Amino acid sequence: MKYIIGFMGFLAALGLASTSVNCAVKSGYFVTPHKNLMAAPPGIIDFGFIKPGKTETQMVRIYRNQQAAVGKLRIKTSAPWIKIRESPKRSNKKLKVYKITLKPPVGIGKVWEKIRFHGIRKNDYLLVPIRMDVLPEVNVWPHRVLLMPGQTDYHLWIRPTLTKRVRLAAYQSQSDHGVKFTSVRQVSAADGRSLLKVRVAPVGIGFISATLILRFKGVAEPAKVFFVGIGH
Amino acid sequence: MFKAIRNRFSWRSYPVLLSVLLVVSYARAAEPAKLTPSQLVMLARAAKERYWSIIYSFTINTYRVVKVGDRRKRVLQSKCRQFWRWTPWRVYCHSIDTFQSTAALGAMKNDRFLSFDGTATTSMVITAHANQSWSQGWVQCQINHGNLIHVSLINTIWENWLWMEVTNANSKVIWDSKVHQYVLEQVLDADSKTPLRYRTWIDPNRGFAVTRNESSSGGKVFLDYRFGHWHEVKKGLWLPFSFSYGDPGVIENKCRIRRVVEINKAIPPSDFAVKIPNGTPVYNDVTNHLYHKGKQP
Repeated sequence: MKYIIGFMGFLAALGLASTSVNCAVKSGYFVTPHKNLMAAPPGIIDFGFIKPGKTETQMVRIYRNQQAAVGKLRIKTSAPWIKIRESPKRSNKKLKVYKITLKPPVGIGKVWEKIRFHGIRKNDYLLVPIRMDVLPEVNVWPHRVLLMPGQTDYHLWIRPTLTKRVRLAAYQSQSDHGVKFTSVRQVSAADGRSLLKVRVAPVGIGFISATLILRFKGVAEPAKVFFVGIGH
Repeated sequence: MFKAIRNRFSWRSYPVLLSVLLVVSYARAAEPAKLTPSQLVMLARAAKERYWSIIYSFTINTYRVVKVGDRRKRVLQSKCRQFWRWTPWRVYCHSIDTFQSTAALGAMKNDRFLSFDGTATTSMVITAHANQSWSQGWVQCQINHGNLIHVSLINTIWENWLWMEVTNANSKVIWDSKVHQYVLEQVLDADSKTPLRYRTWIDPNRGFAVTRNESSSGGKVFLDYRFGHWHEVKKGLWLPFSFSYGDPGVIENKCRIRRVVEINKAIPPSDFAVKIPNGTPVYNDVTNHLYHKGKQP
């Protein structure tokens, strides 16, 4: 009986071993970011915060823990704004170094993308997730406002690039020619747009101008709107 | 003191005093604010951003000026009907040209048109009276990344004339008291024999719109744009319903807005898509490739 149990144990161990061998084969290739760059959590290439439209690069190493050479890999990604190319200077038979260049489009937020390295084994691939947070931006339209005589209320249209809505955190004005902003409030328009209602009390005679600096929660860069007119 | 004044000015002089005061206050009110060239340009550019969408149609008649004896005669060269949808972000123009002579058609043949790069769309259909075999239904599309100039009505009125360096020492602002408008005058190559002079009339009572632009070299006008028939289409929003441009005495273009469909109302992005019929030759400038719609390689 004990021989039978022992044999079954042997079979189970063999099974486990074979599974682990399979895993080892599958994970025989390792993809890590370049040593100087951030890699958290392991296996994920984290680009951190990227400004929309800005180009970021990362070096990625692919190596085997066994002595076999890394073959020719075919790389596939669904995002057209991810460019990957091999760095021949840094690559050798054991190690492949790839340069990943990202230029995420304006209008995307938290992004998880995947790169597939084909050719690891037949019908197999290595999936490398890429994570990044693209910083939101806010455009305010119009950029330049013509102050009309008698008019005190002006509407500015807020157009965030990532989220549907942003909140006004603070505003500040710079005026050389006596334009006073008495209130700046965020309101919702009937068509769902987010607007800023700006109340201006223009004073002085002749050319007047002011810059309204608007800061929004979670947005790094402030939006600037230039007010200009002729005082009466 | 009051007694002295009362004695000095009797009640009979009050109407005279009142009228003097009225005239002085009117003159004071009519006196324009003094502006520098850069301030005037700032005001005109800010005025442009009050327009954020417009749908309109207009016609352009192009005339060639010919000399018949001592007299000058205008000969109709081409007619054009245009339909525009415009926002600061996207442009759609549909243009139908009808030529009256083969010569005009030949001149146009090498100059056929442009356009879409995802942000701006222009389509052109040419119907030729002079040469029936040519160009019926032709649409040529050329993709120019970043090079497309949106020559819409709004840009024509507000922006096109303000590209010049206003910090130039030779630029100045003059008040034209005849028409009550500012004139931005800029002189380039002031030291040369034929200095280039650009004069732009900007009307503060019509939202700082450009009402006239004149370009001259050595005193001879070679380009003259004039905008007329102004209407306030919405409160504070002015549009000229006619304008003319050209080289005076050589070519004259007369434009007239037929209909303003919408102004400052949202236009869905799908309205800017150009509809090209199958089989139309399309030239892609990026890939330097000519193909036929529906048979793309």
